[in-house]
Amino acid sequence: MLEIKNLYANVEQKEILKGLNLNVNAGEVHAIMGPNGSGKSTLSQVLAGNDAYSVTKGAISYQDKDLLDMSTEERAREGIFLAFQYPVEIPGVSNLQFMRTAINNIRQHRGLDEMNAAEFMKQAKATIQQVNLDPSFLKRGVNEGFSGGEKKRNEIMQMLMLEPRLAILDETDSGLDIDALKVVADGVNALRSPDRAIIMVTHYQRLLDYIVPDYVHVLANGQIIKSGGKELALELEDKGYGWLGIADEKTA
Amino acid sequence: MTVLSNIDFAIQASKDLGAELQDFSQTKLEKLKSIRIPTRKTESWKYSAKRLKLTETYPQSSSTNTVNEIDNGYELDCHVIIFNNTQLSLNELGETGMTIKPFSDLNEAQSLQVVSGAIAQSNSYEFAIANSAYLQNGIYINVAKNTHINKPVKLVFLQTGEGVNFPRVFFNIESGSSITIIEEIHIQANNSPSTLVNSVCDINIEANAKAQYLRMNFDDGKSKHVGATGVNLHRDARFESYHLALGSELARHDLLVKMLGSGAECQLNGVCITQDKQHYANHTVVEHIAPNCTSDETYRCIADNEA
Repeated sequence: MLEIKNLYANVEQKEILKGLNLNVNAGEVHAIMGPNGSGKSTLSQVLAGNDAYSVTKGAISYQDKDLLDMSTEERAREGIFLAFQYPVEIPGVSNLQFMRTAINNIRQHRGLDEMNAAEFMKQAKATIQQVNLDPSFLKRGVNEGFSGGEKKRNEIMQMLMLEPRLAILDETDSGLDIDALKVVADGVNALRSPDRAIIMVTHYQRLLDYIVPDYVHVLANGQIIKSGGKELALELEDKGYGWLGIADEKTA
Repeated sequence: MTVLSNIDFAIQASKDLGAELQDFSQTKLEKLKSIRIPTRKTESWKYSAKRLKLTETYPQSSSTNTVNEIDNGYELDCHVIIFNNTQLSLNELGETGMTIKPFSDLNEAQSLQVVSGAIAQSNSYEFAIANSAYLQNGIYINVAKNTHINKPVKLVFLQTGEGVNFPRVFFNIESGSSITIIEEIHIQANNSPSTLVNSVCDINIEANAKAQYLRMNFDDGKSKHVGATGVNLHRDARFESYHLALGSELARHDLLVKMLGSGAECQLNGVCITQDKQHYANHTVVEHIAPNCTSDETYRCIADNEA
């Protein structure tokens, strides 16, 4: 589904990704770990199409199409979803409006009829309860006044509503207590299917106890330096990053 | 009597502390010599200074008081640590993953953690500097990585009769852990003007860890207590604070939160109730040092009569 070859990318004229290679097939869950400043969030943003990041070399193929040729909106319509590390607040735009607009845009792109209001409300109410948020949150501005944990759960709610083909979760587990983590994990696991791929960027091994990945990759100095199964995450938790020859923490 | 170091609090810095804490205490003692007793011209004390009425000398706090059952109107299954006048009551709490030590038993690394606390590092809080200058044998509590402490840890600062009590606590919450801390001040001044509780609590919350902090005072409404709480919040750490503040003769709480790592979050809540001619001063400072941090603050205050 996704093939990244020799990817170089920079932001504010600073090179962050330096020859990254990664293959993700449909049905797989990949976890990406690494110290601060290694390029994990940069990879997420480049895949989603944030134009603050420049790709200077390399290629990304998504469902046999050149991803780098697609605008941010096209990538979203083609089923790429990014759960933000730091979700922004959008006062004045309700969760309802935001999601219904996004869903109908995607449905239109796929040649489907728009979802009517009643159908959408029914689905939204069911989904919001799935992530343990009060239905009243639907009428509030996007993330407006939400706590950190509520913002992250709202990201998962959006993912569940949009049913993406490729979901990229950028540190969705950061700042969550164990109960919220379980809710997030249940949401992500509910979306696992043979025709969908998930990339989880995580700083903490704990998430992987609840969402068991097929592959774990260590990203350092802009490249994937080691890949393995879930046991690699446990080894990193135990030993840190030093045994791989990289500093444990760098300032981002 | 213009500087705080001129006040004879009848206590000395503990001689049982290690070299790092002794050095720290000595540095603060030197600093104390330049700290003026707050007056109405001291910006952060302009509404409270007239209530200070510090005496030139304080009697030694009696250490013979026994701890009667502390009645605070609620039952809770929790660990309890009592600072009774100048005595510390510390028993093994039997909670896996939590280490509790008096300052006198700390190694160098732990002592340096205490010195690095947000309040310890600050020179903005007059009475916290005094607490550091006359550093007593406080409590160090460490919660190991990825440990959830089920039962709250309750600290009771108890003062009966005249004298001073300078309790000191340091919490280190390692990455991925969580704990609930309750801080209670119990004072029975018995109308003595020479009663003062001056507490400092520093909390260091490592990456992705969480602390809930509840603070309340149960005194006779005629007492004097000053407290400072400092929190260092690292990457993705969370701090929730709930403060029940009941008025007294002089009551002040300084809360300093430093958001040192991205993704950190704090929620500061308080209810403050004063009546008759009582007083309470809440001062909060939140420093957004790292980007992408969130802070929320809600304090509701009710002042009755001439409070």
